[in-house]
Amino acid sequence: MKKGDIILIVCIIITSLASIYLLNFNNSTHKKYIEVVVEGKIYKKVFINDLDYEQKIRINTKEGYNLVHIHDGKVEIIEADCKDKICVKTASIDRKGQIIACLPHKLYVKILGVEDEVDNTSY
Amino acid sequence: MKNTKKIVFMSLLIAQSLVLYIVESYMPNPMTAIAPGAKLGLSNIITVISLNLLGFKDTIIILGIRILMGSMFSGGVSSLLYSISGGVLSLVIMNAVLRIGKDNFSLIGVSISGSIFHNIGQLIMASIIIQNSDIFIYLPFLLLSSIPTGFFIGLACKFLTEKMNFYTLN
Repeated sequence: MKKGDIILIVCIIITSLASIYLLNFNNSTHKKYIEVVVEGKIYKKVFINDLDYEQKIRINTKEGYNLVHIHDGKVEIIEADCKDKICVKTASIDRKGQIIACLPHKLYVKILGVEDEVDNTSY
Repeated sequence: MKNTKKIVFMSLLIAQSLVLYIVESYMPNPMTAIAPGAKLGLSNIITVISLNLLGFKDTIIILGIRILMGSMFSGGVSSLLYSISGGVLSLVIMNAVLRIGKDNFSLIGVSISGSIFHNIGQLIMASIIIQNSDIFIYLPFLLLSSIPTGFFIGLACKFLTEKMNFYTLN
């Protein structure tokens, strides 16, 4: 271990912890919805604010299928036939801006938020 | 090193990195607790060693063949793209750190910086494929995971290069 190694490690830990904190802090919107996007096109939009709401969405892509489970205001992918299963291993998400991606299927699920004033006029 | 000896040595390195690649895919992966898709990257031990012993040109050959054959055995086309983008970017950065920062960085620092840019390269390719840059939200978690992985790989390389130096001397 040399001096540069330690400086590098400390810098990376500080920047990553700071950005994780900032990402979690930014959670101000009231209405949240998820967007399922397959190959760049929006496949489905679902509001997830209601904690009792539960739905399983099966998405068939060209490469295979993914099973998205919405429950308790959270979203996760519980089943897929992709090779790496990274999307299934990813923990469930419930904050605006978070994303679960299944790269082999070119699919991702993302949480978006609607600000209150936009909400009143357009929804 | 003589030419024939060098070719044999390089093919041994390729075989070793492929074995490490396959063995790793059967091992339980503790890194997924920190970030989705994070892994130890055992075959990068070979990349760092050959970069240190043989230099950039030979290493890119070893890396290219390893990625091609590795995705033939497991993975497929999509993992090939991620491996290429991550592997090449991390190799270029590691080469730069090894050449320029030789006085300030040990092999551990080289391997940590390689691990960081491996993640960045893979995220760039992922954001191109799903056409959305929001996937970079995982970058802080991947950066955090790249410290233990890079540290472990660097440590393994440090011990190995001490034992392997006689190869280059002959």
